[in-house]
Amino acid sequence: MKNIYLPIPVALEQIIDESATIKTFRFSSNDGFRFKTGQFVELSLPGIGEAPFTPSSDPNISTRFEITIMNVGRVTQALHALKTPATLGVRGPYGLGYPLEEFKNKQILIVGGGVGLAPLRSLILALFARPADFKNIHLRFGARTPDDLIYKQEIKEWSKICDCVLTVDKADSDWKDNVGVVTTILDTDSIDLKNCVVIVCGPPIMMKFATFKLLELGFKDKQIYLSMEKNMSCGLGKCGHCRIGPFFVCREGPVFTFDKLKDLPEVWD
Amino acid sequence: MERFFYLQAKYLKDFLSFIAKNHRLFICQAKEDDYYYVQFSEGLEPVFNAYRTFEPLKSLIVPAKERIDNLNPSKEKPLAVFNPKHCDLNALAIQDFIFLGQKPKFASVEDLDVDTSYEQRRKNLLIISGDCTGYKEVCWCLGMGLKPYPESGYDINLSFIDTGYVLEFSTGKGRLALKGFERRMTKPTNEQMHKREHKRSKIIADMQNSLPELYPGPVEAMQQAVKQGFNSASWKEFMLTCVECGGCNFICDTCHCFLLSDEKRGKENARLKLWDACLYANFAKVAGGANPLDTRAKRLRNRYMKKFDFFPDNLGKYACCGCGRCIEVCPGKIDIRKILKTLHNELLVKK
Ligand SMILES: Cc1cc2nc3c(=O)[nH]c(=O)nc-3n(C[C@H](O)[C@H](O)[C@H](O)COP(=O)(O)OP(=O)(O)OC[C@H]3O[C@@H](n4cnc5c(N)ncnc54)[C@H](O)[C@@H]3O)c2cc1C
Ligand code: SF4
Ligand code: SF4
Ligand code: FES
Repeated sequence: MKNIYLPIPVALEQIIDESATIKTFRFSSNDGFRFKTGQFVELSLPGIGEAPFTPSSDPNISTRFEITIMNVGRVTQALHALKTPATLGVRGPYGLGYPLEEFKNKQILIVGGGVGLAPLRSLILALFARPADFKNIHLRFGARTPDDLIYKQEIKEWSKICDCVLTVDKADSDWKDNVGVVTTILDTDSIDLKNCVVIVCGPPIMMKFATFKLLELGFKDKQIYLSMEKNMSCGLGKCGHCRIGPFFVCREGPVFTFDKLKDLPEVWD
Repeated sequence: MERFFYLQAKYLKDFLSFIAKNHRLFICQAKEDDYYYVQFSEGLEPVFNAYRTFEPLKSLIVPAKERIDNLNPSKEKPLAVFNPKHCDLNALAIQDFIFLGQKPKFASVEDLDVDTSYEQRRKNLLIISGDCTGYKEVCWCLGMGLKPYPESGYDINLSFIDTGYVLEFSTGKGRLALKGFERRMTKPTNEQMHKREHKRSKIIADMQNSLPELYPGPVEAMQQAVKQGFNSASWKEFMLTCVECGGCNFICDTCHCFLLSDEKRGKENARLKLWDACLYANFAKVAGGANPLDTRAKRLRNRYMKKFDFFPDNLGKYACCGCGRCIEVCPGKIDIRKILKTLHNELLVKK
């Protein structure tokens, strides 16, 4: 009998250091584990615990997937202490993910902060895989310090194909890009407000101020796609932890357009 | 097929023994002025509980703490329960909605996941409910628009009338469970059926006459009262005595929140499913320490938003059956009826 609360085993093949606090975990998925970009999984360390993460790899690759994880607490610390090879558990994928079809033939502005770049990397790779549908991509990334910026090599590659602007809150002597929070690099100079979408993922505080700034710049509620981070246990719309207004974020999200959220009094709590 | 039978009181034990042959049957035992479920055994004297049990009905299907990685409910003997009340049956609809994956209005997906353990137990559960023959001071089912006798959701219902019970079959499952026992029962007389109706009206009248806190506000307006009251200053007053014990959540028949937890048991890894409480400080806390429900007032309000806004929006039904259990267990004497009444009054002032 299928038990929806139990994970399937996955083999951890490789661990890649991204920054002092962030690592990418690569899993092989011979048993055909697939996800859509923006969907999340519950990753578990048997006997220790489980936490929700959004895969950061290209969803078109069927033989492996990657998850980029920041060390912030009990489970993530245990994950960071792992050595390969190891067997972990995975449930999912859960949620709806990014509605790629809605982005077709539009300008796509992608705004990310901190470990929020993880889901966005998967999105960017999915968009790059269909260059005929998604031509006009603009990246705006922020990090606390240059050392905290992840995927540096890849970002270099991406900036060759699309417009990419970086910023850090606090620079060091080698930093040549912008300094300031991510909202300071948001503008509409190369954006056609009538035919664009904007996708935001980052720490809650950054999402809030980015949303305010985007509205101020003239983006419409429906054009702004936000990833809501809520406490989650089941991922299945059953445990009740992730509720906001009439939604279970795990099932009706985690990505929402702002028009669905704006009237909820607790949206920025 | 006959829907109604009459069962003499002296045969109640035989009736329950008959059910217990093929079921894991839970019946009530009285302790002071409360009733508790215990598993039936021949040595026990059956009790026809006058009102709902202390513990919620959900606890028989979804235990407070259960190891789930080695679970196989299809091998379990079917459950039967005697005798939950209308409030309990109504609350079960909330648990069903969540765990059987019924489609909420706001869900954007069609194929919702089913908790198969719940499904298995629920499918086999035989519900032998009963009319309330008494009530507690905290009972306010009428205020939630529910009668003190079952109207749906049971397989068999018993209505006590002086010397016996009017037994009503509502499902084929109920009939099947009593196949072979019918000859111990008779066809109820008109007078017996009349008595049942009389008892039913009388208990409603009694409750209306003796319970001052029965109606905290019109049931249709509850969602509006809670929604409009989101920013009410009263939440801070309501929660002053909350000690964050989670009792109101755990004792509530409609609360469904839980937590999955992993632990090591010797060399084995175990996964547990535990009831969780939204009144606990960490319920909504996310990594890095941010907490959308960072005050007791927000947590208390969250419980009401879930019951009186989320559920009517998604299911068209309040997630409260007026059982009053939360009023009884709260060490802070926080009373759902008083909270709703205050919010209703504030709504009237606004208008
Ligand atoms: C949809 C979604 C996608 C995400 N994607 C990513 C991603 O791609 N990369 C990434 O790095 N992060 C991601 N996160 C955040 C990630 O889930 C958290 O960082 C992770 O849950 C932290 O777990 P932890 O145990 O290490 O942290 P902790 O701070 O220890 O715990 C986090 C939560 O669990 C609770 N908790 C902790 N210990 C216990 C306990 N013993 N009993 C009960 N509750 C406890 C805490 O109250 C807190 O709510 C995502 C979150 C969501 C919701
Ligand atoms: S909220 Fe209180 S009165 Fe309502 S169902 Fe739960 S325990 Fe009963
Ligand atoms: S039972 Fe009372 S004290 Fe305990 S958590 Fe609920 S409201 Fe707070
Ligand atoms: S995480 Fe359990 S309901 Fe959303």
